[in-house]
Amino acid sequence: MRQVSKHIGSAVMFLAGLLILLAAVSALLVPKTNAAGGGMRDPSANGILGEPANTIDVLFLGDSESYCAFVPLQLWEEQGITSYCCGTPAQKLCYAQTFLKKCFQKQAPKLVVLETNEIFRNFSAVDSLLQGSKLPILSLFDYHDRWKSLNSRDLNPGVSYTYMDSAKGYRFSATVAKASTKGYMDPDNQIARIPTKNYLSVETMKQFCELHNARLVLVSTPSTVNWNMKRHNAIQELSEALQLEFLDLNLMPEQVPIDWKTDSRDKGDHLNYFGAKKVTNYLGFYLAETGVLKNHKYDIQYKHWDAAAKEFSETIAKASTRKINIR
Amino acid sequence: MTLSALLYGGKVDQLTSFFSLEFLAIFFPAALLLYGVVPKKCKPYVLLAESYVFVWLISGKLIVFLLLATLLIHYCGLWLDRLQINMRQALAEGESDARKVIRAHFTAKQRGVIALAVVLLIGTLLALKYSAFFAGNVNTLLSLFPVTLRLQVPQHLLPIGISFFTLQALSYILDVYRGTTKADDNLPRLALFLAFFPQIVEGPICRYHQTANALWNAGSIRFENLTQGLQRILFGMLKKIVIADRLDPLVKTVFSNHEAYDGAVIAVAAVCYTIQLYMDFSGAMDAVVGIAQIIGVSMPENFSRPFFSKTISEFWMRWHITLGTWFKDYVFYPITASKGMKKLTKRSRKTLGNHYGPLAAGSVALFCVWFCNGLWHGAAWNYLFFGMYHFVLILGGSLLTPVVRWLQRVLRIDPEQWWYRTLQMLRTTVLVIIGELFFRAHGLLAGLQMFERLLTDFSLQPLTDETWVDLGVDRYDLWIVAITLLLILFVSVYNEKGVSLRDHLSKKKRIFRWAVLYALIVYIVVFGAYGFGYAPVDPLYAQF
Repeated sequence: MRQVSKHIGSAVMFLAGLLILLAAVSALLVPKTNAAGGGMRDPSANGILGEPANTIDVLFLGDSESYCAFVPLQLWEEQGITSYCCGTPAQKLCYAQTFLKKCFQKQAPKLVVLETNEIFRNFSAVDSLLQGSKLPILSLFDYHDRWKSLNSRDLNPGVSYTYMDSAKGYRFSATVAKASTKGYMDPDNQIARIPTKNYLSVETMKQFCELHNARLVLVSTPSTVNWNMKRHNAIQELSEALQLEFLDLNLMPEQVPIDWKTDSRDKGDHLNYFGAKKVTNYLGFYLAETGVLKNHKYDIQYKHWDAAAKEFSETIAKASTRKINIR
Repeated sequence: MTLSALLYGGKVDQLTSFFSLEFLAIFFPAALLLYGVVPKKCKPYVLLAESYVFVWLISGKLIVFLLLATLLIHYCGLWLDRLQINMRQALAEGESDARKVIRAHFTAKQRGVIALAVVLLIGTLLALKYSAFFAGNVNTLLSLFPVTLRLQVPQHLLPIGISFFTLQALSYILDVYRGTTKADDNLPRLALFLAFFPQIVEGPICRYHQTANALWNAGSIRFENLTQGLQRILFGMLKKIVIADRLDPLVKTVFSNHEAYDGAVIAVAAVCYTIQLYMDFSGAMDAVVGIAQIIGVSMPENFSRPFFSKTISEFWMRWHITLGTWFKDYVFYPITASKGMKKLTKRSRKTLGNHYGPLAAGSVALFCVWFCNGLWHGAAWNYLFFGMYHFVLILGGSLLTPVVRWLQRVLRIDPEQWWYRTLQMLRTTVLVIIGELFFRAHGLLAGLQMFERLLTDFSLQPLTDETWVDLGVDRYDLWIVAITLLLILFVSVYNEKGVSLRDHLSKKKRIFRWAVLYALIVYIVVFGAYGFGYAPVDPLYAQF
């Protein structure tokens, strides 16, 4: 018994030493800025960390569907609403939760819009551990490869998040690739399966939002490749069970008149800028009607949004003078 | 674990890698904890249950092939045992002139049982793994004739480890037939021998007498075994995550688009693939041996520093050792010991002498071994070519031995001199790398084209300009690979001299031991090729 206690004590000491060492290495390797140059992953989504405190009223979360469909600077121009898209490629709900928590540390959004495609993305316990954890030591596993770009700045463990994404998380594309609409949203009574842990994740996000005086809204953006009636039915059922607002823009052709010949960047998988404009235009009216969002257009504190919008317009103007690639 | 495992049947193929987070952070600790807390008499059953959960999580319903193979060899083994007992009784009771007839009668029956087991085991493997290859080739042949008949090319899913557990099952049943192993009436013990979870993915291919009883009687986890086992796993992780996976982008880029590169880049890719394969496979074996060591079981080693080999024959005695000995015991020796081959040896010895005489029969057996070895690795012509390449090299080596000895005598070369041994090792390594080029190529034609490029379009320019930057690795990656290879070479040189650095380390003071382990862990965590920016690399031998 004494021997066993000795071994346990030895193992605990070894692990404690290892944790301290890993924490020290983690502090060295973790990005010290939120810009791509500083080694930050998903810099456009993490650009929210550089936004002035309490200036974002709407937070968009989701996979690539979200950053192809929601244009925060158009919302600003049309409705004076400040928003940010923290969508990332193939985002899983555990990672969305990380962004949700990260965002609420500095911001106080009134509305959180979750693009529903990611609700069907499976994630493992390991994904939750690495992507969903706030433990600093686990950041080491995310950013271990930064040893290649270490510099003297990294010796200071403090972080300085000053980078702001000029498009507020939206990823612009004017590429046109015509989509086939065969079978798209054809009537179907079947219900797609939502993994249990995904269901629980949405519920957790709803509770988190309520705790922070925010509302969670589910939005399905138009996609002929990813969306169908089975998925619509599943999200409808989920929204009713959790008492969440649900907008399926795939079933709203009058409000969001997507032309699949011109409005997709990749044959119906994602929207291009022309499709995103239609989605954002409708969403702007919808959000404004909720009555919980202020129009900050003439608020002096939000002047930097005008500058960002101007820069964004120039980007679009430049792109539209170039020949649009139609596939 | 079991309930949730039911839901994930066939969906957790990440477990095939012992260095995936799914294995290291979830399955392995859970399995170890469960094994550690149950009473001793339950431990083998827990180990068996864990092994089946493991296979189920990776292969789902295809686990049925493992279960059927287990039942087949269990009952065939008992049947053979019964026949052998009956034969002994009949021989004891029978009169002396009837003994020959009795023996022939029972031998024929036993051969029937063996044939049944072998046909079912090999037949299943052929049907699942090779039917598409055979059908594809038959269709190619048919296309040469004016007939419209074509075979449907089947696409089967393979249960994890079928190539490995089939060979283990065959070795058991053949050993029972030969009388070198007694038939096991304990079905769970036999099942554990076939299914033991670390070993089923990539081997080693164990014999019944090596592991069956050791696994069944494996006791409590001892602290010394735990630390030693974990250290071995850590060493395997260093090989796999830091070297093998870091070289993967370069290997994948060049081999999938070989037309775009000239001979020098292809040569670098072939060298990198050989390193990758060795580090990947031997790293996995370190994990298997380490896991088994934790529960006090000693698994057979599959590698013994193969790149210190002076000849290709020696290389295959040091590389994938358990596969080589399997083919030696169950293909090579039975063929050379057959009546026809004995006669051939006798005759050719008279005409060709004592060196070349036995080579006639030996070369027939060797051809069969390398044909099977090539085919075992995969259903494609480049694997068969790989087998034949090594057959030619080994046979050629044997044929040239007298000439080489004569030259050594004439030129007064001492074969034990360091420079001569180094040259031999380099030559063997180059020959191995050429073989691996064909092994990794996407088909035989691609392999031949790449080899042709090596000979006809070789310039050092791509190595000095920035070509390699587009191959998915940068200079930092290459530095890390080089430093880690030197570290492994350092350990290997000591091991070759019979010095175990691990044992040496265990005698040092705690502070020194821990410092070395901390350094190793941090090195792997920081310099490992995993996570964001790296695609997970499946264990290379799990696909065979």
